[in-house]
Amino acid sequence: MKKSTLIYLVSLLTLVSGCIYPFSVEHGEGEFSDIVVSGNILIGETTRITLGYVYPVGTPPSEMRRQYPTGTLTVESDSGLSWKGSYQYRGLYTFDTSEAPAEGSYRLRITLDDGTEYLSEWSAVCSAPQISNLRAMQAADVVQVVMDIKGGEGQWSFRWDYTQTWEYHADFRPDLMFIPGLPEKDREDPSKIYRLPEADEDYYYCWSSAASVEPGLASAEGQSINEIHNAEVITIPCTDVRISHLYCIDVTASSLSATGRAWQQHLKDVSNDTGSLFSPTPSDMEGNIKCTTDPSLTAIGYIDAVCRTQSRLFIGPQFYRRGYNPDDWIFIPDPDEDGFYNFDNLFINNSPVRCNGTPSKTNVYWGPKRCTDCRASGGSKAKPDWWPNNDK
Amino acid sequence: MGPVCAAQTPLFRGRTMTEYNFPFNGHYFWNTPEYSSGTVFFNGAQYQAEFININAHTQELLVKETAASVPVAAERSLTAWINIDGTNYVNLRYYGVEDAPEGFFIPLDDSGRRVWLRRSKQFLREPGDHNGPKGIGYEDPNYREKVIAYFRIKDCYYTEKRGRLKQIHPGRARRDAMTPAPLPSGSAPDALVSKELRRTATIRSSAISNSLPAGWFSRDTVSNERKALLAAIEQEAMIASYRNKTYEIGHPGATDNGIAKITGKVLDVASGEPVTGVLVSDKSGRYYSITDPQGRYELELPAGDNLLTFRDYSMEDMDIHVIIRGSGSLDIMMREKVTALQSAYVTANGMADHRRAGMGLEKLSSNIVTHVPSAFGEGDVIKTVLTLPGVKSVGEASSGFNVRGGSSDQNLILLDGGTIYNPGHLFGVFSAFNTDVVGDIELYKSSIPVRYGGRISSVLDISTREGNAERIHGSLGLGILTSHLALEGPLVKGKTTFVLGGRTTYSDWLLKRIPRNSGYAGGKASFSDINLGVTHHFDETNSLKINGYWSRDAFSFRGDTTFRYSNLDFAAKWTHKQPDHDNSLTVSAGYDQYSNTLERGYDTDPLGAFSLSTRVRQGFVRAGVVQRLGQHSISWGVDGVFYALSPGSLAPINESAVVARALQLESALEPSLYVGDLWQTAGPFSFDAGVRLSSFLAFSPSKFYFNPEFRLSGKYSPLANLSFKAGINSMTQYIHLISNTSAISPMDTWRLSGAGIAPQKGWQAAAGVYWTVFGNALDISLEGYYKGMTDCLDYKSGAVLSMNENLADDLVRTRGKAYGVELMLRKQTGRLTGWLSYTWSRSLLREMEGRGPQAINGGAWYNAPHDKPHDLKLVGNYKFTHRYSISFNLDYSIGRPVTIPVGQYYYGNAVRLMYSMRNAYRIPDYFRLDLALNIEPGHYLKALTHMSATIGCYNVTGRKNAYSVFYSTSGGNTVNGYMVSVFATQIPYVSLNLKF
Repeated sequence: MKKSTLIYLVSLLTLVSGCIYPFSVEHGEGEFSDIVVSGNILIGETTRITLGYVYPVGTPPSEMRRQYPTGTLTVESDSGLSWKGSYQYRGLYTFDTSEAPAEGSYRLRITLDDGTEYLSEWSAVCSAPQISNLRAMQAADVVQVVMDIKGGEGQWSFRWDYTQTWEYHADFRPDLMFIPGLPEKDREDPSKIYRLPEADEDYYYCWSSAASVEPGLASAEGQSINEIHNAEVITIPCTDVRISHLYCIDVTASSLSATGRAWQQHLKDVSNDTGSLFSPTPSDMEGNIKCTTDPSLTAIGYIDAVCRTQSRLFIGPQFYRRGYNPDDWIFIPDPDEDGFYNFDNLFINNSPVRCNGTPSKTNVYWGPKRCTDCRASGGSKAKPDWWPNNDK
Repeated sequence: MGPVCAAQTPLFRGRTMTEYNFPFNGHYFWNTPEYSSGTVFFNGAQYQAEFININAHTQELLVKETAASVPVAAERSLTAWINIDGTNYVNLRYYGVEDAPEGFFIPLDDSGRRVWLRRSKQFLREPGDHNGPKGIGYEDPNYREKVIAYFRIKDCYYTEKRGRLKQIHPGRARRDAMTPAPLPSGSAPDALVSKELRRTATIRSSAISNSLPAGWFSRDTVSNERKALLAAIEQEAMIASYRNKTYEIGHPGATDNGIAKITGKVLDVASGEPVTGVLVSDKSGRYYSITDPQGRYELELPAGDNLLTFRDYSMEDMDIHVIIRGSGSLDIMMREKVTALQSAYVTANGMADHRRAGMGLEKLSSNIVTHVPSAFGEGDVIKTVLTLPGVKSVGEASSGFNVRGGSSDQNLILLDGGTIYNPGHLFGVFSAFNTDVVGDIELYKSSIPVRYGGRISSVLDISTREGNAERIHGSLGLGILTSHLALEGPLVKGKTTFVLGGRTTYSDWLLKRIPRNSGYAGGKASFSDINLGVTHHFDETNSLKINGYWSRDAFSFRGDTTFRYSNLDFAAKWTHKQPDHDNSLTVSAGYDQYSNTLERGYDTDPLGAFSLSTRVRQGFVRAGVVQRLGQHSISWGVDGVFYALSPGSLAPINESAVVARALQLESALEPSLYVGDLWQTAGPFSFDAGVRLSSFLAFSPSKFYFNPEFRLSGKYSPLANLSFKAGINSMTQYIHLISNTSAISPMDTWRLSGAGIAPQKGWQAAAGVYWTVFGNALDISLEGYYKGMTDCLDYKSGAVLSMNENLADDLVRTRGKAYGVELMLRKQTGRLTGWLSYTWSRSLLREMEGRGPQAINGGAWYNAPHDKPHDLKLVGNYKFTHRYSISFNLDYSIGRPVTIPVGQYYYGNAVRLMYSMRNAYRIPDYFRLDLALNIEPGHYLKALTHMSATIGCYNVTGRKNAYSVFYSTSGGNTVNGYMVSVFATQIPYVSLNLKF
């Protein structure tokens, strides 16, 4: 036994004996009277507030999206102005607060259809922070998108979200398209099997997008300046297809009240960061929304009035590395209609055809859809109108 | 090696001797078939002018009380040596030479070298019908033919090398040249017991050893034991080391109304060190004393015949017959049990329980600690304490422990009088105490003595040993993760000793070699600690003990976050005790410090990188007096503790923009006065009562608290082996651990009572029955208790505990109640020793704040984090031989309470969790079985080193015990449940210990 192996085994025995295992306990079919209010009052843009219910743990997401509280939602300012919410779908209400003054305080009033009323505490408008130096850095095998945030006067707590969009392409751009469903006799004639692709059948370029799920949260409290440097926005593996061609990230940041940030941080922690040896006992933290008609009822949520700022970053393919070794990539065709694979033309001179290779135009090769149709990877041909290149 | 219960085995009650009834020539006796007058050293007593011989076939000692008596074979294991007609015969096995053949050896001198002669006689039969020199032919029914039966003499010669016997084959000429060798100087007794004096031996100013001293095999050295004995003789004390002997004490008439005061010291015969904690009692069991740190005891006994018993977990039992004619002194030389596993595990044995008025005391020794199986084979004080009834923890890798429903900060943990604020190393995998230097361990669960204060739940008082007074020796231990080294010995012979111990770990080194994808790559985890103790005896009445302790922990498992914490303790204690009175004065002073530091972001967050540290410093002065007044033993004293806490200090790292700031320093003085009375009536009752006037003066802001505390306990013993006890005590605590984690965390901070934090108060009523049965072999105890607590701390949701200038706003005061029943069965003798305990208990909390619906669980009672109603523990050791034994430890308990999510909802794009009422659920039950094979060193007296080893397995069944369960959405749409298991598999280990 090699010395290193022995060391590894001993180490493993002693230090890696502690593990985390899947675990489930039975829960009762509880009913929850709490409602969930998510979102902030966005000054200078459309406010989006979503109402929801609490479901027993283990409820499938589809079940959770079936029912939503409904009622009347109003954003009120301490200057007497108000904006009534407009119901969109799935509990989402929008408010046209794009013209709302960026001073004073705001609150949200919710009157459900059954007459139950909830009211958030007044929240002074937090001025928008400045995003600077949004950049991408390579660290080992990942690309980190980081930024610096500077708060306005008296603003020390920050939240940021992002939307990412990326362009990518299929491994091959086919010259010919397979014509399925031919009779047996016609398959012997290659000219009947293939055709030239139409103009709208170019599935080489695709675009995809996603929004952040977890907000970024940080506080500069305790610092001499209300800035956060190197705030991490997202980390992408270098082998991720998102950065294979052109990647764009739009970061939206806002300042929060100190208690609002603490509430959101607590919510994030108790949902994702529990279970270690020194984790605090998890618990629910009271937000700033109270039920005015029945104090025993609670609403989960914290409403801040915020102004947001946005910044955009493009990343080229300079960080991208293929996640596979091209020499190991075997070009496997899609099965035919009978479920069989045709390997007849799979090899050229006893070498497998590879996705990244350049097949000779004098030969015809089968290509799987995932190698030739970028949509197979989840994207679409819907190119954003602001996308900066001519790919299509 | 001393036998168990040897005192009950007289010389002339051995087995019936083996008879050989057939015609043949020769005899089975060593030399001559005639019984000769000689001397026998048997069972600690020396018998002179007896009729003795040796059966060379069975190697038995044959003794007759008179020439006409029927001979019996004396118990060989109790026979040290005999002398027949001037020739010494030595039982080497008695002295621990385990590879020596059974029987007796004649010491011979071979041109200056010691040679051992062992004569054996083989009983042989061979066909033949002739009579001759061998024997007489006879018809043997078993052989159906004539055979010749005879004894064939076989003389074997041995030399001793490095503590082992080696057979040699000297030629005839050389054998003939060998001459009988006397017993070495120092091993012969100074006084012999004649037959006439067998029943009553009066020995004055003389020392008699019941064992060959250390170094007996060495020809040219005077043994240390001998020196110790001679030193004791010079002090003109009567020293008893024989068990079956009667000692006469005092002069007739020197009594007070027929009551004589017997004082003395109990010393270790090998090292000369005083033995602490020995229970000295008379035959009635009503009069008893426990030796103090100087080994002193004092008894007031009626004049006349009596039997004094001396019991201690690590020493061989001593029973001394005495005739008390008047007040006098009797020092006792006890011998350490060579095989620790043979000893009882818990020293507060049943008989001691019957003598104390107090209850809820558990005593342990380092011997016990080292033989309770533990993870990675390192003897662990805290983990051993956890095997006791009423003591629980929240999980395997947790530093703290919970006693009878109290939280972990409600335990006062003392090391030589200094307070240990974090008793764990390496996240709690190891305890902070080095078993190499630890002496006695006492855990008070109730009836806490009046001299202790400052915590409301329990007191764990750990004292380190004094160094060996005779010679320098040490020990070295190697384990999978740790190693430890200890040295001890005299600095000034007879006056000053030292003990030094240190431990370190190489987990850091291992972590660097773990593969990157293991999740631990780049991590660091290390600890070290050092103990140093020096004891100086000025004279018989005054001694000074100085101890220091330092420990350091550092670990980092994630990126650029590093935790460090350190304990530092220094204490000096001067003890003055009058030899002839049970009066003593103890003055101690010291300084304790606990600090921790968290550094974060030094690599990745140049603007926010910070260092956060907290520190507890305290200085203390204590003075206590114990004074005996008739049946009363009055203790009184004064305590003063000065605290200086830095509850939080934040500093930038490098060019970080973090603003350096520090929370206001907290300082306070905790002075206390106490007085107590231990009243030992002449009847079956005894009482222990006391008052402790506890006060606390907090500075900035100024705040003063005064809280008298009461202690009261009583005992009724209708029988010597049956006692009923009850007691009540109240306690106050002014320093609090601020932590919202279940286990003690490296970043927990301590805060003082003052503005916003009230002192915690607790009281406990307890009652119990103690019954010792089966000839003191089994102790049965049943204790019940109810504990009330107020102003315990809990935390609001989302509480910020570090660097919080308004911490009190995030705290919640709670009321606590705990109650339970503890049943314990303890077996202390025989091959199998150990205990079985079952505890049923509850520990509940309830918010006191009156916050209405916002109160924790709506203001209802809720489970404390350590509430585990059912708890079963089985700890034992089975000894196969003197060297080999197995230890086992079984632990079962109900899972601890946890707060888990019961609801889920969308917030933004992510699924979030809604939690249950606090501690409303429980993690799965806990079960663990540990096994260990212990190999003790051979007892070769001349060997320079002694190696012992422990091969064990922690969590033999490999059960994945849950430390905690948690749910995580991981930012997705689904909720997954997970269970954290600290030791999720079998942990085999090997631990080697070398003594030199």
